[in-house]
Amino acid sequence: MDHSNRLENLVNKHEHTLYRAALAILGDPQDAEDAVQETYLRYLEKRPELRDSDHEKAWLLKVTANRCKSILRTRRRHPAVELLDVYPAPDTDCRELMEAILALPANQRAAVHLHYYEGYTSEEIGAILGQRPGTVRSHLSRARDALRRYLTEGEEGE
Amino acid sequence: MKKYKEYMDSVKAPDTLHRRLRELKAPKKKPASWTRYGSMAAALALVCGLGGFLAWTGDVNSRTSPIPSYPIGHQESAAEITDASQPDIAIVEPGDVTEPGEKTLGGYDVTGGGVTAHYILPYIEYGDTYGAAETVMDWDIPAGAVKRELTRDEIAALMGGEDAVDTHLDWGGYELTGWAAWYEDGSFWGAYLYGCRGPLDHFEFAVTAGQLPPTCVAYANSVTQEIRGLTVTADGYDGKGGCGRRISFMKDDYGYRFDLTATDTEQAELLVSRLVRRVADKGLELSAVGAAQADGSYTCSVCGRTVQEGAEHVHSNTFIGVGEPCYEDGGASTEPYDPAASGEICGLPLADDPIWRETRAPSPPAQCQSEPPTLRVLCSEGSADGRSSNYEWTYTDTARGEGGSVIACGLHPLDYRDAPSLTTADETVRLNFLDLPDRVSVVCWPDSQWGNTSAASQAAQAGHGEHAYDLTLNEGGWVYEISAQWDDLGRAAYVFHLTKT
Repeated sequence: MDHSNRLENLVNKHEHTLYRAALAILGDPQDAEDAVQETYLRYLEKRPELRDSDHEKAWLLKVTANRCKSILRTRRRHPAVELLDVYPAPDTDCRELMEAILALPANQRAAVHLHYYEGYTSEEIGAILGQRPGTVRSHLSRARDALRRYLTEGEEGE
Repeated sequence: MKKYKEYMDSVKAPDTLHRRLRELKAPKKKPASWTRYGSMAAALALVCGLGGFLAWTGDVNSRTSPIPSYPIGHQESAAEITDASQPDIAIVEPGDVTEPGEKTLGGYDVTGGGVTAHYILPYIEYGDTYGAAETVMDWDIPAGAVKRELTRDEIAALMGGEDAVDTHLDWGGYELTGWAAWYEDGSFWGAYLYGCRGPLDHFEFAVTAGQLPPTCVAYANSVTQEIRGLTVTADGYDGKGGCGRRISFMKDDYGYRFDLTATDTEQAELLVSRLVRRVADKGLELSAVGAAQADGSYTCSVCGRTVQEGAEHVHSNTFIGVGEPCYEDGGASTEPYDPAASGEICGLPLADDPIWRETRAPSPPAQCQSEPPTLRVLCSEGSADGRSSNYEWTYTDTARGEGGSVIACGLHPLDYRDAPSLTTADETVRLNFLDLPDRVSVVCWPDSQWGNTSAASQAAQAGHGEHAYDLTLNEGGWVYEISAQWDDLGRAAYVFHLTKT
């Protein structure tokens, strides 16, 4: 498979995943688009050898998370466009939950998304975010404290 | 979190993004490094030509006060400026572009006493920050160190005076703040400066004695190069809204780090180059920042409050996140601490540990303390106490009506060169906690790996005794990270350097 086909394949396979992750970390649809675009650009630049689909996804998520970090580092403002304005929550409960998640620090939002949505363990999240698993666990723990009222008992543990 | 999943499932990458992604093309390869200097060479030709023209037309200054010729690495002084006698023609020589340390970014002129001196700025190559980033450590001022804020005048004096700040560093437009810290014995630990002239234009500059200043992230693609006799590590990124440039180096047993965010890449690189040139040539005036406050008070390294000597300083809900500045969302107490009454604070007994009782003064029970208990390591030859600087801790202080959770992110064990140390012939050492943890695990690295934070650790054996844990030592010198877990209180990691002879 040549690289343009491979890129198309990768875009089709992972663009939603990466966009959601970037959105969860950045909370700004425009910045999230930029982060995803830069991720794929990085892929074209590096052309890494990726073992399988899981490896591919983890690599792309890692680059996306790094791009998000860079964007957050230069961004000293609130998101220009509010996420919930672009993607409205279907009901009040969901809106409240999303507002609570968006109020978390970015590193906690990243850990929450990768754990609760993508299903990664703290070790895997640590590898993606470039943090120790213990740090990820502390982010998750603090996020859980903040979101406790939205979590059902069965979901609290890792 | 079902609702979160449902919400996220409903989010799709927009079509506009999909189209942008499908149209992406692989970026062209960077031009060979020498081509980047084509324009510089052209500019040089123009400068030389112009210089020749001025000389030919009889420009008075060019004949009576020629610009001095300073090789790269030269240290300027007012006297030298006045005594200068050679024309400045060495901005870019053919050999300049062959070695990274010899490249230049051009320079800047300083006029004084009717004489103009030209200072050459070194070119710095930056690695990108797109690759793997590793969390390595965070600011963690040593226990007992004293910290205080620096005034604007002190900052200027530290950097070599107002002239250095404005003319050589070009920091004139930045609002400067900072602090410095000293060890208990009064020796200099480090200083941190923050310059800001806008939301996207700011920098951090740090200097620490004996080691590079702590940082939260290390990038795999950083470029290390020789500049003006220094080994400089540099990396950076370019975004739509601005860029970041970061360098670090050691000079005269002091570590320096400069981390700049700017809207203009060219300006950013000039500022970094100016800083490197200045520090490489002149260093800092560390004596200008004096010492801790005379009355013995100090500024808390976490919340910034002034704490009187002898006063206990407790944080509620303090969180120091990796990669983030510390902030406080709870109150702080500066009430005098009375060890004699400490056992009654929560109405709970002290830990029933004979060794502890024999060798240590009473302390409040672990659940009353705002940080994890000290760990004492005992062997036949003696003992060493270690405090954790890497922990998550929940505490309750009913007497003060305070409580909270604390998370502290400390140095990587292999960067913790001041770790308590013991040398022993014993096979095992005793790990003696004030409050026995529910679980203990230990990893270690050979001490030949000091400073190599990417080195892989090995597991070590820690057996559970009745009142303590026993750690089995490896032969030789090893750095041990002892992680303790209290189910109700949190977890803490302790670092010791233990040598078995």
